Amino acid sequence: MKEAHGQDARGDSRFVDVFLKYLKAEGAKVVFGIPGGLLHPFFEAIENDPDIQLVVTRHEEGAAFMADGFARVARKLAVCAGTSGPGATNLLTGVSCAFADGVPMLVVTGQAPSGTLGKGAAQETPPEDMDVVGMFRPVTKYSTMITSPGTLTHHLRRALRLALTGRPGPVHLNVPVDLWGHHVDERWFDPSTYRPSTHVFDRNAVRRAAEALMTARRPVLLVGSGVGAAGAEEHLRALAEFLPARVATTPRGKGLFPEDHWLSLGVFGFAGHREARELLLGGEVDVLFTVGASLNETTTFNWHPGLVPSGSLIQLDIDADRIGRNYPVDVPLVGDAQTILIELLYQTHRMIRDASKPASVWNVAPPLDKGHTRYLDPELRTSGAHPLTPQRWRVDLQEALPGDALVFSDIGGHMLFNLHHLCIRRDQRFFINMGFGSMGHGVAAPIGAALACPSRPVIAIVGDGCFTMNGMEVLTAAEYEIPVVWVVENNQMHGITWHGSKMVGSGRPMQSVVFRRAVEIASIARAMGLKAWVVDRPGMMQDVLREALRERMPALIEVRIDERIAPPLGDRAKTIAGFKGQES
Amino acid sequence: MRWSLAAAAALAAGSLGLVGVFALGASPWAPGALALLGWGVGWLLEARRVVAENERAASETNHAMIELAVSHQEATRELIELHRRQQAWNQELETLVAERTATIEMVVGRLRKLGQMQSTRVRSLSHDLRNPLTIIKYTSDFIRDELSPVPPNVEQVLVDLDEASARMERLLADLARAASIEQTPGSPRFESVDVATLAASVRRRLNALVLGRDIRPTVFQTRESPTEIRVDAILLDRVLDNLLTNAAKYTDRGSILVEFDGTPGQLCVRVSDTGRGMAPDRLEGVFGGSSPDISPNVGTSLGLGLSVVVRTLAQLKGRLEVMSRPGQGTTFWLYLPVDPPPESGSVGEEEPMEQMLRRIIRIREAM
Repeated sequence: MKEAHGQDARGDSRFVDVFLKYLKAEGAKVVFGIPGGLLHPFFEAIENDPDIQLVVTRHEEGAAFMADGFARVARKLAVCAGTSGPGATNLLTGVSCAFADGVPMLVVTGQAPSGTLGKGAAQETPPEDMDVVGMFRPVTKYSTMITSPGTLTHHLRRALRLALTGRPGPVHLNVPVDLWGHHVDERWFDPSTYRPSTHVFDRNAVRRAAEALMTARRPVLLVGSGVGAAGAEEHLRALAEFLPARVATTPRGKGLFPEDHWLSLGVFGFAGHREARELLLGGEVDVLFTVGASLNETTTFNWHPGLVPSGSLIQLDIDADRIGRNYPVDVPLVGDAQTILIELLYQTHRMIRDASKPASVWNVAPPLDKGHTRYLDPELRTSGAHPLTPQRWRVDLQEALPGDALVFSDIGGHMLFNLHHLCIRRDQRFFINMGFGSMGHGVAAPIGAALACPSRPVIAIVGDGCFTMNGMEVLTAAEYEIPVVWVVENNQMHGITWHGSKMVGSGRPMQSVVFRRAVEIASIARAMGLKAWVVDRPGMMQDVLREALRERMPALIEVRIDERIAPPLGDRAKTIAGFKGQES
Repeated sequence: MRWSLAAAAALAAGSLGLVGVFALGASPWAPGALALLGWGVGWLLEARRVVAENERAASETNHAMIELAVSHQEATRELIELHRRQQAWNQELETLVAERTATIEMVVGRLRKLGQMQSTRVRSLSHDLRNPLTIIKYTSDFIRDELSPVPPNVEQVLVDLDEASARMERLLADLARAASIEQTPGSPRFESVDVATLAASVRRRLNALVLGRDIRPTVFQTRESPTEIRVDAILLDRVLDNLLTNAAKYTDRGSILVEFDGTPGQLCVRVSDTGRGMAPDRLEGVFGGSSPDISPNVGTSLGLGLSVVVRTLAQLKGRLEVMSRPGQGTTFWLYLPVDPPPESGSVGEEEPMEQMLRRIIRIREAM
């Protein structure tokens, strides 16, 4: 029998072969994971498949983070796998990160043979016991165990459809080890036949949005990570320049609009910039258009009421459930950001054709500050002090950062400095797992990113705490010669907690988070076979970074800083203080 | 030698007889007879010698005559052979001459083609050079507007710039006129072109074209757009430059929007402006081929560029659709195959422009 697309419909293939065929059809080129007995047939098939690379990580969490980094950069499905039991549960944190940030990922876990489930097979995790499928359910769009050979491909296609349509996200398939070898006698479905395009929009709503934007005198766009997921950066910039509208990004959306652009307000919210805060909360904005921003705590200065504009609030999100969650919305736009932004551009273009003219006054307003005074503590950005200030080395790094760099930030005090003091330019990209906020992500995810886009330099800025959590994944990069440059900011403690603890509770810094023995990150890296440098003075970073990038091999730069300098915690500490107040 | 010895002997005998006659003169009879005898013998001997001599001479003459006849025969044969060879050489020479003539004709044909191509290129280049020139002119206006009042030293620089631009414009017009009207397309060189890079380049060009004017330039790529296409980058640049320059030229205010989109197997570049636009009859006249006025100063939205665009698109296996409304603007849809078939570029050189125009350009009904 032939399938509608003319391909051989029925065959005598094993399920594992069909599985890999679907993965390849979806563009998956790498599988991250650690082989184990109950997933052996899957890993064995990948090892023998020349079209898919198997990257064996040091820990399954690293595998999930790498898959996350791969998918964020490639904007394609990523695959990670872990065997049954701990192999599966170790994936959970990384999968949660992907779920929180809407990253498409297929998670494959092993299971005891179907005939032995419930009888106490080694590492079995059936639904009635340590239910691994149930564990994944809250952090995936779909989690199921395949229980019969007849439904194998049905579940696989459903998982792929859900991972890649609507708001993307991870899906989980748990496969008893004996099913991989089952022969499948089913028709082949091309991805276009089981995974429809969901790029639809409400034309009337788009028209209303276009009218509101064209008549706005002080329009502002607030850009979230949804723009990056939809690949809509260029379209957003086109709309901003067209109107013109000033643009702020959420912390997660940092860099999706060039921060050196004349319309850029920088980051609004957590560790954000003064101009963004003053404009968005100052009551001057008449139309606020949020694009792919979930308007959560870190984006809104704790749901500040001043964010509501005097005219219209237009909210665009791919997930209808996020529309109007925290603020009343005048024009809701549900759908893919790129599709809707293109339609908005055409609508505004047509309106100009019909003799309208944008009312925006931003092109005649005083220009925004683009110098050091745009930032908090500007004197520390140019300081020649030793020990080095966290601000100064970032200014130095900025000088040597390639124009097409992919910059990853981990979670912690260094993240706040990154959000505030780095200026992400036009072709550079910035990635951070703000949704779940998992430390250690910035160590492993860049490895996946470098595999997804080998032509671009990948730089990961992580803290010493993050490095000590997942640092062994550096070995994975060394083993596979994946060129990532880690810049590890070393303040010998969990800085965000230490500095934050002074702003909440009794105001006494929490000494337990200060390392009792100094950690020499560069020495650890050298022991793992990497080239490593220590930067501890102003003006050193530029040459060191250039040399590290020239290597085209994994490399590490340890930056020793003045640990007394507090990161721009701002309202985050107040929020925590508020929560504590509510608790008491 | 033998003949001379015999003659000498005969002469000697005769002389001896005369000597005897005069020596024996005492006996008038007896000495006379002896002398006569001697003379007779001598004469006989001489006669015999002469006869022998004659025989020898005749024989020798005969022999010589035979030799002469043989030589003549041989010479005649040789002459015939030479004549034959001459004929063969002539024939060969004629063939060679014919071949050389054909080669020379071919070379002349090629040179003529090259000449035509060169004039085409000169003409196209002179047209293409107007695009950056337009940018220079607009930039000059922009600087003047921005710096108003313009400091005297800058004003002088701007005046120099304007004069140089005007001079260059005149030179380009002369160059275009000087070049032949006949055009012969060259073979396109297909290479892989990254569409994102192309879009970025178009964005820069369009921004420069509308710098300082009340026109909003927008360039973007959709996810349906192919990531790369196989195309002659120089020829494609020429087409895009024409579309962009004309959109900028005939749009006084508003917006120019360029979208890089895709349909299966094709890249679609949409260039939409809010410019002057054209009435349907004029649109039909210019793009429908009913009166394809494609002279440089026609004042249409494509002018001289139209013929270049059409010929270039024919080479690229592309096509163009156009929709226009007076006072509202014009939209072009440029379609190019992502991976053109191998025979691409073999354009029928003899295809008339009018026919080519109808084949490659389609007019869309305005909504």
